[in-house]
Amino acid sequence: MAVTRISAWSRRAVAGAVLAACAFAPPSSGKDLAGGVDPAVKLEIQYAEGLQKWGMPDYAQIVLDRLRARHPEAEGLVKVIAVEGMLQLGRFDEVRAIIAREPDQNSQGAWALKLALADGYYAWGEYGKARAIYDSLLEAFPKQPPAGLKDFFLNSVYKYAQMQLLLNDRKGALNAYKRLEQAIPREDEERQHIRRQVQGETGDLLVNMAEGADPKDRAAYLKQVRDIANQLMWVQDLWFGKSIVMLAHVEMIEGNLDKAQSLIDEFASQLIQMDETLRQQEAETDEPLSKLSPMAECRYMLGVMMQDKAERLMAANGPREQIITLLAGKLRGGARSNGALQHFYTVFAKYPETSWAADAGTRAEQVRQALIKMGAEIKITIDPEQMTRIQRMQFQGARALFNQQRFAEAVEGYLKVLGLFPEQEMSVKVLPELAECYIETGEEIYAQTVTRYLAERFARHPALMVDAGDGVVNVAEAYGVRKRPVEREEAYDLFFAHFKDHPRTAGILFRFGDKLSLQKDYAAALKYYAQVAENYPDSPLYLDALSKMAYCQSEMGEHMAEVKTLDLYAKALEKGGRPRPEAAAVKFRLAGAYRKLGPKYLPSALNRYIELVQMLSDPKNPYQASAEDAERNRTILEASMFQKGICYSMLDAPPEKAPGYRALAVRSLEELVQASPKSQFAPAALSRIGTLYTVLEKPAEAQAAFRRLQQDHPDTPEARNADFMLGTILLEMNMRQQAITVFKRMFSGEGRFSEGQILSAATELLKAGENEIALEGFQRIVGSRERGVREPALLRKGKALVALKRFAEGLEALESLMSEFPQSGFTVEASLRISTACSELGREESDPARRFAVYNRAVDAINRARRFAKEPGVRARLDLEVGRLYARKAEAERKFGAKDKAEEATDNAMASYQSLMLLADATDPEVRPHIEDAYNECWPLVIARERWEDVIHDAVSYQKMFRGGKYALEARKWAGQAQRALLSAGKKVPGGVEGTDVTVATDEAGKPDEAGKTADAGKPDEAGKTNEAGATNELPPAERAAAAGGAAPGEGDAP
Amino acid sequence: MNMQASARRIWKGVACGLVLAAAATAFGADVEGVIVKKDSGRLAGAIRYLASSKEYLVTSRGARDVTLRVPLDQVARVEVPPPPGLGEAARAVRGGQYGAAVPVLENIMKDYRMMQHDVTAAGYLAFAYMGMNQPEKALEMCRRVIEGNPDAAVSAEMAPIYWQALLKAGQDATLRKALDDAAARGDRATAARAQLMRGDLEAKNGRHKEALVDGYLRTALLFRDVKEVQPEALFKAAQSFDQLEQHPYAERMRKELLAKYPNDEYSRRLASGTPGG
Repeated sequence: MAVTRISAWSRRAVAGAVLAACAFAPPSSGKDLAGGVDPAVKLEIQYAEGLQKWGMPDYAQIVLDRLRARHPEAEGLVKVIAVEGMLQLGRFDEVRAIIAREPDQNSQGAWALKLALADGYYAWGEYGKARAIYDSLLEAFPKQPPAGLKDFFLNSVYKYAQMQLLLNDRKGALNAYKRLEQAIPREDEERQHIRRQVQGETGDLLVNMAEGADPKDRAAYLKQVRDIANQLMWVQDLWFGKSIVMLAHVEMIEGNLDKAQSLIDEFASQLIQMDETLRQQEAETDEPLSKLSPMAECRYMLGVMMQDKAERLMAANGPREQIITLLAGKLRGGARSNGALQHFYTVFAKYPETSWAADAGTRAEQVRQALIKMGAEIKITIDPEQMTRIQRMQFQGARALFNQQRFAEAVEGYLKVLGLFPEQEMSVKVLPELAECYIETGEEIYAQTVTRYLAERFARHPALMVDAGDGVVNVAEAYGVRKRPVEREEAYDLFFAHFKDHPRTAGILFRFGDKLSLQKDYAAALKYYAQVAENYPDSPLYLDALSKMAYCQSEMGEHMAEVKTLDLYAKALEKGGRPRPEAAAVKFRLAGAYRKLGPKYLPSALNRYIELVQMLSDPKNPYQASAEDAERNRTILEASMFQKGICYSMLDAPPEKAPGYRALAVRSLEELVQASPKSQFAPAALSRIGTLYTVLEKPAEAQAAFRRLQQDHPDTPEARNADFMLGTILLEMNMRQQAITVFKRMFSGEGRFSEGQILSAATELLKAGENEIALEGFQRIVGSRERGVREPALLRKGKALVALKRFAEGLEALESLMSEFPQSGFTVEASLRISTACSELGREESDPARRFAVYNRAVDAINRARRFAKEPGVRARLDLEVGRLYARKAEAERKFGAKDKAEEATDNAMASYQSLMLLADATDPEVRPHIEDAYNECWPLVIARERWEDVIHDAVSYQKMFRGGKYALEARKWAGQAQRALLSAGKKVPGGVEGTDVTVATDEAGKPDEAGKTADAGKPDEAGKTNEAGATNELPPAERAAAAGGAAPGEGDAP
Repeated sequence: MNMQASARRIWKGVACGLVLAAAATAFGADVEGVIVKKDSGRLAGAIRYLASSKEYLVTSRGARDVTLRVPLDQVARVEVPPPPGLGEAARAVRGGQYGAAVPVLENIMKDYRMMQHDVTAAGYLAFAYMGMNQPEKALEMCRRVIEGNPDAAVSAEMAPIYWQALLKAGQDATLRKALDDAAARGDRATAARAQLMRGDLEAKNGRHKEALVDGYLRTALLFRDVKEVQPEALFKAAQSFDQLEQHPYAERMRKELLAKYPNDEYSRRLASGTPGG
């Protein structure tokens, strides 16, 4: 076929051919194939969309209303924007209803809404529905759309073609292109440049389709390409250049490489000129015009032809020089001409938006490897900005598939491009997406491989660390969204292990701590807060972490640790010189923590209260920055004065100093009452003053105090329950005998106290562990006719008796409660005590029948409670109790030599524990602690049965469910024992248990290396501590206090 | 890794500046050269290093001999000509003639202590000792090199020898750390090799999942650009998947191995059913 050489071509034609359509851009930002929106309108629409994105729909509405008023013709666009906002929220039904209300379903407005709906379906992954709407547009206008709709039709169908290309439906896209061409007949001179663009893109698509097609289809496609090329080459514009390249490509596909080459050679200078013009215009306008250049395809083809020739020569052992020339160009005067490598890299680097770029990249790598094998050294320089653009384009395809949830295809796409760009900025951004693809496809081991690689490989990369850490967090949250808490936690553990310096680490650790603290899992929460405190002293969360650590330690009863933490917190507040408002509250907490440590540390607590009184007595003290601070500090001051008095009153050593301390106590409390007569602490202070004067044998002063209490605070519990308060205070002061006298008087029925008051008093005594005294109170009122008194009295009487080890009596009281009040709210509590009482009675019962009967009573009680209990936490507690009951029964049976019955009871115990372990919901914070206890109590039973594989299996399961749990040590210990037992028996040892001192295969591990440590966990290192597998390093109290640094709390602190 | 091939490139990896860590107490010999100080000052003369006081003695010969003491922390580098015999010894190591090379290299290490070439000699000695099956000594030499240049531990030239020495010396914990380090910050080829070796250690201990996730599968999936290790990674990944009874994955690995590397030794092993690793 002869081609007329064209010597000049129109720049205006190139400019006029500048057309790009963004597939799913909103009306404001997308480029249109035809027509276009008034720029002023477009600006307002962009403004409204931006406001919507910022979550300001009301402001967006103002802008749209204004637009409507000024540009009534924009009504349709305004509606579309409103509808788009609704589609983002998934409100498809409402949008369909709006569309249905349009009076003319074939108007542009209606179609704009319908296509917005289609785009919404696309965004939500409902491609079938999206297609159906676009197809209906094509069906509605089978030939020519009406003139008024033409531009809209062209833009929409063009968009549809792009959508289909993204969905990899090339036949669908071809069909759309053909409809576009049909819609622009030759007579439509105004739109001929559009027609030519459409033809050019159609030709491109057909060439792509031909390359992978079977021979019959290929021939058909190539014929169509020739037809298009013949039409295009009659106008001297950009598309003329395209037609030449198309024809050359067709020749190449048909194997006529020489013809292809000669076509390109003939028109090379014109093609180069076109390319330069487009690049210039691209630089001027910032539009990606280079993707329209025929040069990309041209150079790609040249590269392919050269590569092909070189490969044939290599297969035939052809001349090396010739092969190198084809692949890498010829060296002339210090510079190389273009070989396949240069052509491919040029397309890859300079035309990344074209459809040739990806393949060019792959082929460039193939050529590069071939040259390296031949001993060449290759140096390729691509500037960083260009490289970023290339990567973004290369990854775009894979990301589009990911966004479409085509995960298996996305995996292939990602791996292909990661092969080209393994360690760039974009790589780190897409690796979490790759992991998520594997999660979706259920290829868990692949997901873990990618995630661990992302963490290990990039955590120390200075430029990529932050993105990599974000990526690992994204993977963790991907698991979280899919309700896979175990994998989520593993991913976060990976994050914490590798990304200590990540800006988010402290915040995430803190958040984890908060979540566990809310679930009351204080031990686990503490670990997270402690990491923040230890590793991030400069973080804004540091002080909060210390505060929360102290709270957790308090809840766990670890008051010594609480003291250390609060001390650290207080010292941290002192840094910087300027007094901080929180200082007083922290010191108050510290004083309280000292008190919880017991009498030995009372002086330390007292000293802190004294310091607080000194700090806050001046109303203009520097520890307040606002009125709220002042109010809070005032309360702390009053509380400190009160507590100071309490502490003085409780000091009793040496005995000769006790009166002096009590006098100081009275003075402190009187100072409080004088300074703040309306203080919330005043009633208690007066009550205590009265008690102290009583103890000091000053009855007149005592009476004066009690009188003042009743006059000034008549409605307070202290005034109403003076005797009870007196008795309680005497107990606190360790004056137990005096306290008993007061309570006996109260319980003796001297008439002044109601049954309710006696019940409250006895209950408080029970809580304080004063079971004997409490029992007297309950005995007094257990005969009450009032259910509100009798019912709790029976329960607590039973509890007191059980605590006093009077099991038979306790059992009687509790069973009376259960039979008299079968629907009692105390059923669960009573049944647990019954279980304990029966277990203890059974332990001593030598007669098998009676022993059997007594355990049955317990089982009945628990079963009754199970029927009653609704909350999962309570049911779990009862299930645990069943296990314990059987375990105790087994012990009792063993004691009395009933081996078979003991085994049966053990089996029942294991079954109960295991049903809890396997079936209960570990994510429920009320249930979780009982599951954990079940593991711990089940292990010894399974060990006793020598079911070693089960022990290991349970240990693995525990470690996964309770990472860092309170029985972690036990898990390792039991699993280690089981592993050793299996090894000795020559059996295969299941793996998966962390931190045991048994390796599955024997090797030379265990020999010390140069660090002086043993190779395996579990053995002591040179500091005398056990390492991560072993026990924690517990010092005896004296050394622990010394090791804490600073003053040992309590010791040496004198009032 | 081919030791001779590595030995050919060793000097590039290890000879990179002054060794600043003092490890021995032996005196070096007097060597003519130049001390370049951190303040850019230069002192030429006969140089000797005193390990006990961590300083250099520089004696300049003139009408009168003047000896100056320069503390180690003031020195940027020491420039001395290559010792006689170093080149020949290096060639001997590359040629596998360790017996001839070792005494020469040991002398150079002694005489040129803290004068640049001791590190070069240490590097060649590491290779030689491994060749002579003396891993402890090789390890000592590796440590000398790494002390002067921590990045040598993850370099393509030094890392494989270092790992082999650790493995043969039974220092599994240190080896594991070295492999983790290389996997994290070595170049991609070194990282890939470290991962494979890590996989071998895990597989040896029956931890096949770990062998895959942090070893073979990671290399096969995410280090496709390091083509030379792919056949081994695919082969061993298949073996580990089989151990875990995940046969479809194992099959996937085998298919890829046979399709992409049909002429590789691992493909042949697969075809012949020979166990590998």
